[in-house]
Amino acid sequence: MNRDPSPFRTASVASTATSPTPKYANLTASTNLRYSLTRKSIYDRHLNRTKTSELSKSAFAFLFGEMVQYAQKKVYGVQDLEKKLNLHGYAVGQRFLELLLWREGRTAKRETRILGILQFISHQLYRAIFQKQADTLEKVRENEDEYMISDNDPVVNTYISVPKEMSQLNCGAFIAGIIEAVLDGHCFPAKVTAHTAPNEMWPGRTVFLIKFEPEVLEREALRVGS
Amino acid sequence: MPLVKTLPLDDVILTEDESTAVYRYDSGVVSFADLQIARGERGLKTGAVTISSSFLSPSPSHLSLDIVVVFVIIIMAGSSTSYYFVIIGTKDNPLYEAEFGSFKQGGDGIAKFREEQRHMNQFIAHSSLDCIEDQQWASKEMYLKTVDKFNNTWVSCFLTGGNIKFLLVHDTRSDEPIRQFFTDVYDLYCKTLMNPFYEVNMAIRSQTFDQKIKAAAKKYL
Repeated sequence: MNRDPSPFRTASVASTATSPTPKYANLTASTNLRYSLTRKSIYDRHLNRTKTSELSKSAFAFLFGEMVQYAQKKVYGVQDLEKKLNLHGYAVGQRFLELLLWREGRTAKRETRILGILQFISHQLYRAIFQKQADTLEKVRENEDEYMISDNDPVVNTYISVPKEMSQLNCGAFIAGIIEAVLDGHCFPAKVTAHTAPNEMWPGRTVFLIKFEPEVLEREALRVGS
Repeated sequence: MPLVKTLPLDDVILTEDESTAVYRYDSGVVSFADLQIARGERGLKTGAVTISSSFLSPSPSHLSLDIVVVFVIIIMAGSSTSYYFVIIGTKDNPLYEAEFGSFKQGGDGIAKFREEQRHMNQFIAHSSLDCIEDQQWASKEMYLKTVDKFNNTWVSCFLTGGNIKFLLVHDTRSDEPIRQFFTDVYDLYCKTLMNPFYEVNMAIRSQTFDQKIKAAAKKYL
């Protein structure tokens, strides 16, 4: 049996077992892991290739559902699960932020103020991911360091049914992770959490609560003074 | 440092490899222009002249009378520009570094840093991180232009949205080609980041990345 170190090659190895074609047999023997079959790397792919392409909602719902299930196997409670989803979102956010700014080209700006970055998230970022703006962006009146972005019907929650014993869970934690990554990237360290906050119109309304670290406000205060 | 060639004119003393000259000045105020003239008269190599340090030492000829100011002039080897490029992560950790020379004006693209300059480049780049931290809040631009200057070397910086810094240490000023170079680097960095096995702050070891960076340098610098 030809043992190939690549996990991506197993499919083609299996196919050669059933219908052996010399073309594949040759490749598995000679190529090393570094190169794909076409010998094209990620650097040969244009970053705008997928800019306008869309993903079907059912495919997304399936993948997201699988991701939640996978995460659920490895955690102890709701909080742990949300943290895991947050981390998954964080990795997406880090990449998406750079991609978004790259696509803006010469007009790309780094946001240096709290309000600027929050608007960037609720407008540009939200539109790039979900093709709509976030529904509201508010400041928490009681706390100086807290802001809220709300989404009336987050697409990630559409096909997730939460069991009764886990009523605390909101899979919007994934989006919260994306938001957190964008804030961190711009040097606005914050904790972002997703909370279910239904109203009469929107039973699935989710609020992302953003709590900035104290040094962010300190810096902001200095900038206002100067 | 062995001083072998003692030149009578203006007391300019050269080291063996002609990379450093020591200029003694006995009276009056010495200016940078004076040193430039001294250099021209001696027909030294065409390269940037830097006053790297000035110190006081007693003159052997006027032992008890006077104190002579000695300037050390460092003459950059070679005539073409050399560049040192480094990508710095969010925790001030280096992700990638490269050296290359200019292809413009008949350059061969090989960095001509002297051995002691090579590690100085790293120090210069590192010390400029503080300047960047100051300047990143004053402007919304990603390309911060030159952020720091050390003797005759400048440091240019490009700051991405994810707080990754691209630093270029160079000895000639030219904003526009450097901006174009950084734009290409940003493109390559984004592509690296799209790799699901790459995470932010990981060192970039891809050979393709290295080749593409060198190609961008050849195109613009």
